Amino acid sequence: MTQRKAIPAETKLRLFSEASGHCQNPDCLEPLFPVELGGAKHIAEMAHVVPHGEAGPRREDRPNDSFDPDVFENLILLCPTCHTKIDKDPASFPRNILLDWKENHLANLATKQGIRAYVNRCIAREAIAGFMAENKAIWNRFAPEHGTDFNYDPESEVAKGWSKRMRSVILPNNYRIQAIIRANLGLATEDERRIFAEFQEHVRGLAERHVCNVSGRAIRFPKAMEDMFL
Amino acid sequence: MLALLDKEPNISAQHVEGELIRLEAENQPGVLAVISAAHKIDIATAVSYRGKYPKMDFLCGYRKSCIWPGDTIEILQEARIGWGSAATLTSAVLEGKANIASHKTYFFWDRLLRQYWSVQKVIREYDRIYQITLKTGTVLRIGMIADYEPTADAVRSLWDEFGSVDIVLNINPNGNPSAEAVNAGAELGCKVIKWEELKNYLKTA
Repeated sequence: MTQRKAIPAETKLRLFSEASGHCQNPDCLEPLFPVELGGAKHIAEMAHVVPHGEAGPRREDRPNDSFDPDVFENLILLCPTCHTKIDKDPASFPRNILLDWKENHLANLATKQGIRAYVNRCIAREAIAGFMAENKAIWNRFAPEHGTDFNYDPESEVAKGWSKRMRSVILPNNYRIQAIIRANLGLATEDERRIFAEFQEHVRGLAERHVCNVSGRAIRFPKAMEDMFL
Repeated sequence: MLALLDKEPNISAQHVEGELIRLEAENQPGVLAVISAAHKIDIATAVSYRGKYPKMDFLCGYRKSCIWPGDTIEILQEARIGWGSAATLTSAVLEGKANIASHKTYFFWDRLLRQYWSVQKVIREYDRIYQITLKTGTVLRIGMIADYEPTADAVRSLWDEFGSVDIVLNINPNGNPSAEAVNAGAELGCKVIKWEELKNYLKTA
């Protein structure tokens, strides 16, 4: 039996980057770094659009003998459920469908996350309100100095919980909020644009702190963000 | 302070006289607490409050900057009078432990240092300053900073206020000192570290 060669790291990185951390099936789009795993581990599976061997799903779509199945163009990033589904029922998920999913992934994801230009401030507000409320609820419970569950206890599980929630919920929510506001900056007042700029700096600092472990550079959350588009 | 406590839905607060208030929480004994605006609560201050309000259960230094010398802490604890910040008072009233409560910012750290296997003797100079003697004979002066992300200024201020220390311990479990804070410590001649690093240090010091 011949051994498959490993998929190059560059290809994997490109695939993860283009998938933006979500299953590329437009009917799924579930996070590949689930909250339950603390945002540190992923469940992503790299699926071949056309297979390695002669017996795999969608084998009839193989272009020619010299085709390299491990190239970026022939891979799609899916959650385990969707990977199983497309390989168990290749007739329902032919090559062109999978390539279409991949082609339109970012647009599909943006639509699901409410990232689009709206006709008025009220709808733009609704699009960000849920994410902001979720972040605030987590902050109120776990905030690193003033949260209701916070204690100066080095053995506390709350500190670990805060760190996990920051990476798996607060930061992703902040990126969505940023993307929605950016798409709707035309609806913002001059003051709101300034506040949004501060918010972006705040998020940069959070990412430095919680992803890159660089402390002391984040500015505080601008309180006026709570009234954005109100 | 009363206005602050009024925001706590499970506690009712009433002014009794001077700096004394009475706090009530459901199913818990009432608490007589002295609310002090002092920046430092030393023995003279504590004794004076005790003379003025002999029935007090808790002495609260509500200012964030309030400092408690170790000998004051000792006499309050011996007299079964709780001590600490406004947040400590609130939790203590809700738990019905006002007269044995101690400053919640430092409570866990005091216990950890006293219980750590390589520590032989602990002298608490201030709420946040300890002198510990290890079983090896090494003596270390440790200063605690509770900030989320201590800055170089916080490290230098600790030295200005309490004198030199061997170790600055960042006791906020969520945070980390900035690189500038670590550098400031190195320039002054101390380590700026977290608990895990201190544990490793204590093993070999």
